Order: sequence, then C-alpha cells, then structure tokens
Amino acid sequence: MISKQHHSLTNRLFRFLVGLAALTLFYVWIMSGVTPPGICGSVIRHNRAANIDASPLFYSDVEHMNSLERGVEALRRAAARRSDTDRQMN
Amino acid sequence: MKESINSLWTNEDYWAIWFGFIIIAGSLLGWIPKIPKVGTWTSDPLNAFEVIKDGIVTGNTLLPLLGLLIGLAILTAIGVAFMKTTKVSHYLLGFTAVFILATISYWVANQAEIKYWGLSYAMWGLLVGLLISNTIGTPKWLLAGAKTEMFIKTGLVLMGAEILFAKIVSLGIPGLMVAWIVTPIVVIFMFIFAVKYLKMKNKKLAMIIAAATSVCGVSAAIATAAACRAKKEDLTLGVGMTLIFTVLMMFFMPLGIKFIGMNHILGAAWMGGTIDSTGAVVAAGSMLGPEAEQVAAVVKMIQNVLIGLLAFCVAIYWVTTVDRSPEGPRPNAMEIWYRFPKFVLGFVAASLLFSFVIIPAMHGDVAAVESRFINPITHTLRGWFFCLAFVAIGLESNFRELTAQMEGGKPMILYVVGQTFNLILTLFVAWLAFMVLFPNVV
Repeated sequence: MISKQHHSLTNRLFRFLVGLAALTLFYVWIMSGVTPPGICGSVIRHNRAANIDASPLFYSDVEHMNSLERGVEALRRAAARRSDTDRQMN
Repeated sequence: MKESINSLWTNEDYWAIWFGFIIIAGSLLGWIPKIPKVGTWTSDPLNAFEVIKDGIVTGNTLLPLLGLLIGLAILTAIGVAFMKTTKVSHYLLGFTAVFILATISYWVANQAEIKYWGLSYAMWGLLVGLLISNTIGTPKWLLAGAKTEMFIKTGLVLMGAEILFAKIVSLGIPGLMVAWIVTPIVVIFMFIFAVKYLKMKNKKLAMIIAAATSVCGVSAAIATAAACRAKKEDLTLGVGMTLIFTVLMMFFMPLGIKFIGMNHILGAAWMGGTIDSTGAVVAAGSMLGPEAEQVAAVVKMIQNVLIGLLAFCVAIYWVTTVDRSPEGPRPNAMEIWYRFPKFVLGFVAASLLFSFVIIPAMHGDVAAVESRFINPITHTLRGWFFCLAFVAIGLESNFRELTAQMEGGKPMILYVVGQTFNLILTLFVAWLAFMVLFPNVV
C-alpha cells in the first residue's frame, strides 16, 4: 500500500517536473527574443522597436491610453477645421 | 426560493459588493495608499521589484507587496468568516500561497519580450494553476484559498469604476456605430448559431465565447461567466481560445490591411472592433501608423464600456429564460430578484457612481479622476483580483473536464464562424460609418 502511494507520488512529481520544464522552455524561448520569420514577425519586430506592450486586456490597462484619447481629440478637431475651411471655400 | 436578510453577510455576491465598495470608498477618502505592482523587466528579473523615480532606483516593492498580501488576506478573510464556507485559518494559508502564485504569474508576464507577444498575466496565471492541478494535484490546503468566484466578482465590482460613460462619445457617432451596433448583433448571432445550429448543450460556454469574441476577450469572458454562473472549465476554455486567436489576429490583420491597401482609419476601426484585447489592438493599430493606433484603441475603448451592460443583460436573460424550467410559469419580479447575481448590481453601481457622481463632482475632469482614484488603487487592485482568480481557476480545473467541454470541436467552430461574421459585419459598418456617412470625422 505504502509502496503504491509512493509510486503514485513519484509519478505525479515526475509529471509536474516535465510540465514545469516544458513551460520554462517555452518561456525562455519567447524571452530570448525569438521572432517569427518573414512578414509574420513584423508585428513583434515593430513592438520591440517601438516598445509596445501588447498584453493589456482592457482599455484602462494600456499605460498611454490618455495620450491615445487626446490624439483622437486632436484628429477630430483637425478634421472639423478642414471641413469648415472646405465649406468656406465652396 | 426566498432570500433572507442574512444573505447580506452570507452570500458571496453581496460580499463582492462590500469588498468593492470598501475599496472604492477607501480610495475616494484617501485612506488606501498606492497599490504596489510587479514592474516590467528585461534581463534582470529583480528589476520587476524595484521602485524607480526619475530613472533612479529608490527602493523595492517587496515590503509593499507583503502589505498588500496582509491587507487583502484580512479584508477577504472577514467575508470568508461570515460566509462560513471555509475555516479562516485554512483560507489564510491557502490565500497566501495563491497570492504568491499570482505574483509569480505577474512577474513572468511582465518580462518585456513576453509583453511584445501579448501573453498576459491571465494566460500565465491559468497555466501555473493548471500545471499544479493536472500533475501533482491541488492540495486541499491550497484549494481553501482559491476562492475563484469571490475574486472574480470583487474584481468586476472594482472594474465598474473603470467603465466611464463619458468615454463612449470619444469618436462621435461613427465610433458608436462600430462598437455599439455590431457588438450586440454578433453576440446574439453567435448564441443563436451555437444553440440552434451547432446544438451546443453547454449554453454558458456558448455565451462566454460569444461575449469574448464580440466585446473584449478575457474581460468580457469573465464578466459573462460570472453573470450566467458558468463552470470554471467553461471560462478556461473561452479564455484560452480568445488568447490564442487574439495573438493570431494581432499578427495578421495589419499585414492584410497593408497588403490590400485599405484606408488606415478604416482598417484601424475594423481592428478596434474585432481584435479581442486592447493591447493587441494598440499593437496592430500602431503597425499602420500613430493615427490608426489612436483610432483603433479608442474604438476598442468604446466597445469595452459595453461590458457592464452585457453582464447585466446576460444575467437577466439567464434568470428569466435559460434557468427557467420549460413547463414552469414565467418567473415574477421577486423570483428574478432572488436568482439575479447581485454583484452585477455592484458592478453597474460603481460605473454609475464614477460616471455620474464622481466625475461631475470633479468638474468633468476624467483624467484627474483616473489618475487620483482609479489608476493607483481600484484599477491595480482589480488586476490583482483577476490575477488571483486566474490562478484559482487553473488550480480548480482539470484537463479531463476541459476535454469533455469540447463537444467534438463545436466551441472552436463557434469561435471561427462568429469571428468571421464579426469581421465581415464590422468591416461593413466601419466602411459605412467612416467612409460613407461621416468621412470627415477624423
């Protein structure tokens, strides 16, 4: 009975270590700066060059969300000015 | 089915509201200090625990993190003591371990390269938990601290503070058209497709996948799962699928848009309406240029605001239609109230409080409210509660149950068909809104 329990525990520990090793390998592989070849890797290369965090789940998790919102405000103001000028010219 | 006054201190839903509003009140009154976070690191893992001010290391976050562990343990243990579901001493031991695993998940996710790939703490938290539960098995003492529902519901009540209605007008009518017209249509289409055509037995999983695909991925999946009281395995499957497809869409959508020479603003609105998580939307939008990045992120933000309304509608639909026996009478108002997941009310109340009381009281200065009350406290704590929840979900899930949920690949078919429909409809509405009806909006 004890031997069976010991075997089961060893088996479970072995599975845990294999799983942990697989997870660690995957992590180290990504961490090492791997990039998919060709155009498939262009987003990763771009994120790396511009230091873009692609992990936020929700809008409030994006650190520069305020500046993105201000950017859209500025775009809308510029578009409104363009429309006014066009209208005046017509 | 009756509810007594006792449920106010014995029901988990009410405790989520109490926890959430204690934190919100503490934040508004200035009683809660800035909540510590695990920082970003590149090559030295210890950098994640450094406090950097003006480029100089001024200390570390280990002590504040210990303070956070103690604070959260005490706060949540009060609820656990009243609910009497677990012995408090057992809960405290288990919670400490779950918190350490959550910190590891954050630390793993915050490596710079991992962030470039968009592999968030949600994925790492789930993987850490699944690794333990499916190999050595989650020990009972650890399970005692894995209060998944309590963490999710409290996190969602706190998330309510981030759902600010002032945000929905950021891009005018075109933004609303893409984010608010397409989204409900896709949710309804996917749910009907799953139930009527795919004949999926698991309606909760169908709803989780529909919400994750059409609103905002992981966050919508959590909110919907809690609103319809789905099983942990359903949420794990829904979240896993959305995480994989988000990375794929982040990789290929900007390339496709560039390849066919689509207008960048149209492309940005399209990606904002379809890619599940905001980080991936920002990265994909940025590939098309700064203006596209801004438009894509703001479209996504407007869509994110729908999450509260969605959770509310799903909760109502579930208690009035899905959970009702086919032969039974239509439930009356009191019956609906008894069955309704009350934490959704806390979620909605927090959103209304910040949108219509706190922001007007601060003279409409949304940025000030975000920088003083939301970002340093409620938002960071919401992240911690979600991270704890993902670790707990992993600890409580097993692969055999997950395989049983697959129903011959039906959830995958649902995701692919739903996302294809979402892509087509969003492109059409974005074209109509930004190119035909309001071409001069940006």
